[in-house]
Amino acid sequence: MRFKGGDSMELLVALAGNPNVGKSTIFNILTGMHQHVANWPGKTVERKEGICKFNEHVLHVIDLPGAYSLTAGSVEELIAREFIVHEHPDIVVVIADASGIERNLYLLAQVLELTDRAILALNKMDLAEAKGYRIDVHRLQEEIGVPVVPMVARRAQGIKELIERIIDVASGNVDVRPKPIRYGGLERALSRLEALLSGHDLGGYAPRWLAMKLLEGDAEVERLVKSSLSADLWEQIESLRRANERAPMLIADARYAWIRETLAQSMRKPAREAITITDNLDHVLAHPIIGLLIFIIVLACIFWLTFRLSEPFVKVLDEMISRIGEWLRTRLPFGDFANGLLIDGALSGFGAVVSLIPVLVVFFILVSVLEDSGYMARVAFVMDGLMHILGLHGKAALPLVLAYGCNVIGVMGSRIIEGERDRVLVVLLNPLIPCSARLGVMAFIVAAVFPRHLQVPAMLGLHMLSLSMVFVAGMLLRLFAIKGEQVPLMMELPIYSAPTARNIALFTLHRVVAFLKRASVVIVSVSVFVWLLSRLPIGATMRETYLGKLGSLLQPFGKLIGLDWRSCAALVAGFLAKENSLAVLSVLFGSTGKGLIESLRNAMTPLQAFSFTAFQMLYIPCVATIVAIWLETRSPKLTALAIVYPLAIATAVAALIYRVGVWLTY
Amino acid sequence: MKSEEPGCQRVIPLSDLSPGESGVVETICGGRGMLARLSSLGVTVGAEISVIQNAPIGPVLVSVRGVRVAIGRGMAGRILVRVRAPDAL
Repeated sequence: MRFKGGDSMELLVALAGNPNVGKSTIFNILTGMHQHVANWPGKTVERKEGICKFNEHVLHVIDLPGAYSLTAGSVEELIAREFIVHEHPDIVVVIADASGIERNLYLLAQVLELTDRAILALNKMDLAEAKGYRIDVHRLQEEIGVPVVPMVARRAQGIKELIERIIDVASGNVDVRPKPIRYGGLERALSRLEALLSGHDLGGYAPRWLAMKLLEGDAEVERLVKSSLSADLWEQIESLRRANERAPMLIADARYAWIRETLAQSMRKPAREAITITDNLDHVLAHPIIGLLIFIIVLACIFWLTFRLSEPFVKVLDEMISRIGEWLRTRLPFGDFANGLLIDGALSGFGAVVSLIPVLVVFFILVSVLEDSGYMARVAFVMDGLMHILGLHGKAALPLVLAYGCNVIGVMGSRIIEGERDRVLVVLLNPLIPCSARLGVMAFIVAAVFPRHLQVPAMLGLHMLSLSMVFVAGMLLRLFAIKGEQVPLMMELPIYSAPTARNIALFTLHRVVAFLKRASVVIVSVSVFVWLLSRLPIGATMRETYLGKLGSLLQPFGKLIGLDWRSCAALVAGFLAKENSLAVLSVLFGSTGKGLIESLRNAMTPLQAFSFTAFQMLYIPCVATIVAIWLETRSPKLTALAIVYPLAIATAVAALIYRVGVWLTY
Repeated sequence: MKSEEPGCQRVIPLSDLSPGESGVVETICGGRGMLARLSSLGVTVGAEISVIQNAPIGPVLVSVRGVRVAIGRGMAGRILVRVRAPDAL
C-alpha cells in the first residue's frame, strides 16, 4: 500500500476464487478497458491485471488463476499462493459461488491460513436463492470475521460495495478478525513442526503454514524445506510426518468443520434441493451418448462458423490489401526493387496477419460463449472417456479439431484445457494436423500429378498418415518430452448461466490484440526476408538467387526424400505460410510458359508428389503458428521442439515413402 | 429391487453406485496429493455424496456439498461409499 498524499491510497488487490465463480466478470467490471493480459513468467497460465480508480484511490487488481485450493496440486494453485505470499497484496478478495457456498468457503479457509486481509465476495446470490438457499449475510460476516459482500456480478450488483469494503479494510476502518480454524488432534504435531522450522530461512513463508503444508503432503513445500534444512532435521520432520499419516484428511476435516460451524447459524438449506435448470440441461448435455452427439454437432458448428462466417471478411481484407498494393505500385517512386520489397514483401506479410483477424475474432467469441455459459466443462466431461485413450484431457478434442482449419486457432484454443501438461501436449501436437492452407497445397498437387482414379486414395492416405503421426507423436512426447503423469479428471461442473457481452468482448479483444502484436512484427519480417531471398542478388536467375541456392544446398537432403532443388526452395518458402510453397513452385516450374498443373505433371512422378505432399503436410509449422506456440508456452525450448520434432517426423516419413516406393517400382 | 436387511448397509466403490443412489464417503484410497485434490472439491471422508450420472465408461458425475463434481472412473473406484438405504418412495 502506498499513500499518495491526503487520504488517497494505491492498493494491490488480488482476486482469488474457484474456477467459474464469476471472477473474470468481476475483474472485467472493475478494470474495464484498463487491463493488461500476459502470461505468468514461464507458465502457460494467463496473468491478468488491471487498474480500477475509485474516488481518489487507485486499485491495482490482479486476477489470480482459478483454483480449488492452495496446495501445489496444479500450476494455477501454485501461482495463486505464491502471489499471496510473495507479493503481499493489501487485500485478497475471495470470490465464492453462493450456490455452492459450503465447498467454495474451503478456498477462503486456506487463504485465511496465509493472510488476515481478506474479503469474501459472495457472488451468484440469485442462483443460491433459486436453489432455495437462505443466506443471512450479516450473520455470516459476524461468524466468519471477515467482511462479506453479496453480489450478482452478471448484473453488476455489489461492485460498488465491494470496492468500498476493500478501501475500508485497507484503511483500517473495519476490524478483520477471522474466526480461527482449529486443527484439534493435529495441534501438537503442528507446533512441534513449527518449532523445528522456525529460525530457518524458508522463502518467506510462515513456519506454521509450512508445517501444515508438510503434513498435507505438499510436494513443493517438501522440496523447499528439504533443500534448506540439514539432513538430520529433515529426518525428524519425516518421522513426525510418518506418525501423522492421516493428517491430510484431518486438516481437510478441520476446514470443513470450520465451514459447517460458520454456516450453521447463517444459512438455511431446503430439505430437498430445488430442481434447477442445470439439472435439467445436464440430463441432455452431460448424457454419455446424447451429450457426445450434441458435442459433435457443436464442434461442427464451431468449425463451420469460425472458418465460413469469417470468410467474406477475410476476402474483403485480402482484396483491400492487394488493391492498396497495386495502388502503391503505381504511385511509389522507388523503382521496381524497393517497390517489390515494400509491397510483395512487407505489405503482403502484413496482409497475411490481417486476414487472420476475422477468423480469430469469430473463434474467440464462440469459445468465450461456451466457456462463460458453463458448457465447456461438459465437453471435458463427455469427451473424457474417449480422449483418455489418447492420454489427453477431454477438452483437447476442441482445439485439435479446429487445428484442421488453422493451427494458430488450435494452438490458441489449447488454453481451455486444465493442467499444464495436457495443454502443452495439445500445443505440440498441433503442427502435425494439416490446416486448410496445407490441405489446399496437398489437394492441388495431388490433383495435378496423380491420375484421376488415384486422387481420392492419395488424399485419404495422407489424412490417415497425419492422424497416425498424431498418435505416434503423442505417445513419444508423453514418453520423452513432457514430464508428469496424466492427472485423472476431477472438476466441478458449474451451474449454467447466460454469458455476458462484456466478458465476451474483453476476452476476444485481448486474445486477438496479443496475437497481432507479436505476429505482425515476426510475420512481416519473415515475409520481407523470404522475398529478399528470392530476389537477391539483383538480376540473378531464380536458380542463382539465395532462395535457389538454399534449395540447391538442401538438395542432398532433398535426394533422401526424392525432391530436387526447386521443391526444396518451395518448402523453405512454405515456412512463411504454407500456401507460399505453391507460389514458389509456380515460379520455378511454370517458367516454360505452361500452367503450373501441366508443368508439375511433367516435372514430378506421382511418387515424388506423394513424398512432397507428405513432407509439406508434416514439416515445421508456419511462422504464425510458431508465434502462437511461443505466446502460449512462453518457452524457447518447447517452441524449438515444436519446430524440430515435426521436421524429424516429416523427413523420416517422406524418406520411407520415397525409398519404399522406389524399391517397389524396380 | 431386492430388499436389504435393515442395518446391513453396503460399502461399495463410488463407481459402482447407480444414478440416484447416495451415501456417505467411508474411505478414500489414494496418496496425499490425491486426497488434497479431492478435499478441495468437497469429497472427504464423512461427506454426503449422491450420484447424478454413471455411464459404463467415462467419469462419474456426483453431487457433493451442494456442487456437481465429475470424478474420473479410476479415481471413483477408489472412493468407498456407505450406501444409504433408498428413501421410502
